Amino acid sequence: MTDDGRWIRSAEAFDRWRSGERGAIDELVHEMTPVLWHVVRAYRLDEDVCEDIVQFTWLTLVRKADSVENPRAIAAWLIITARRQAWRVAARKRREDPVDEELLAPVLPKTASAESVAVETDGNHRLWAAVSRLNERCQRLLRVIAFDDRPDYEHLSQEMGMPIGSIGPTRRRCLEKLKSSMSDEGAKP
Amino acid sequence: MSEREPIFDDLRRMFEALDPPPEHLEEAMIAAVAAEDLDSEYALLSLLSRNNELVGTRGAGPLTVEFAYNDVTVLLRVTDGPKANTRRIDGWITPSADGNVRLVAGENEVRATLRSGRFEIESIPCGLIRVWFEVTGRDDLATPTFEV
Repeated sequence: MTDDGRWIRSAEAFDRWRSGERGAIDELVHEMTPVLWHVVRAYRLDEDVCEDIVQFTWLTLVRKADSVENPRAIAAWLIITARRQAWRVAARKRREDPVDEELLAPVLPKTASAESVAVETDGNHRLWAAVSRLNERCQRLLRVIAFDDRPDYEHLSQEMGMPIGSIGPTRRRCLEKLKSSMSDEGAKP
Repeated sequence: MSEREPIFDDLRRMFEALDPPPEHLEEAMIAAVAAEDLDSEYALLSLLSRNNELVGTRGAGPLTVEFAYNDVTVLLRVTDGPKANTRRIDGWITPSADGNVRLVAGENEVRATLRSGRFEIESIPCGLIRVWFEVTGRDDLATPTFEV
């Protein structure tokens, strides 16, 4: 399953908005707000702060729409804007409050407990638990890529302080760790 | 056409199921975009933290909200106002500055003076608000829309 449909619909809505159809931006917000949410949550910030970063991203788009060089890549532009802001806020929080428990505590799933739903959900909870056992860098990388088919490696490399060439291998290592974390868990009685 | 490993689709479904965006988020973003004033020039403050000082539901009890833009920090302390469903706001901006504060709550607008980095607004209706700062000698600043 790829998500090209969302990217194409976003580009079309953005085009129509820029050529004067005011309501078209609502369609763009509808398409991209959930994606932005997940990308920003990858930075392990709490919900209020994530909401604010999503809002920051939309207001930045409205104010700087003319500076978007490639309207076809509006989805990528939004994701990078949101990620940069999330990175800035996370870095600032770390600097001001190095042992901020919000950042250290594992983020817990907010939906109801597993027993209320069926096996599918149980699989989700197992996957969630396996992801939670990975280091922070892996957790962020996997969540960003899960919601962005074509992640921008240049910005990822700046954020993570590693050369661009290391991101592919890191991505593979994170997936291997995830798979072994899941099979370790599955092997338990 | 994606060359992505299939497990990313599982991850995506898992995050969508277990950590979905808040229900009001999309509508709030549509409203924020529609209300944006394109004619004003300002720098957008970012939310750093939002904490209830006492355990309680959102909006009940003192609330501290902190925003920042570069080296500027804005701290707002929100307490119950004089009447039901109103809030009082005490604010501090650092580095200290003089100027004006404009608070927009729906159709209502309240103004206050910023003196030595401090301001107070005695009563505003609770709900979604946005605060603007006209700071002498510096760029204007605005918070995003947030709830008190």
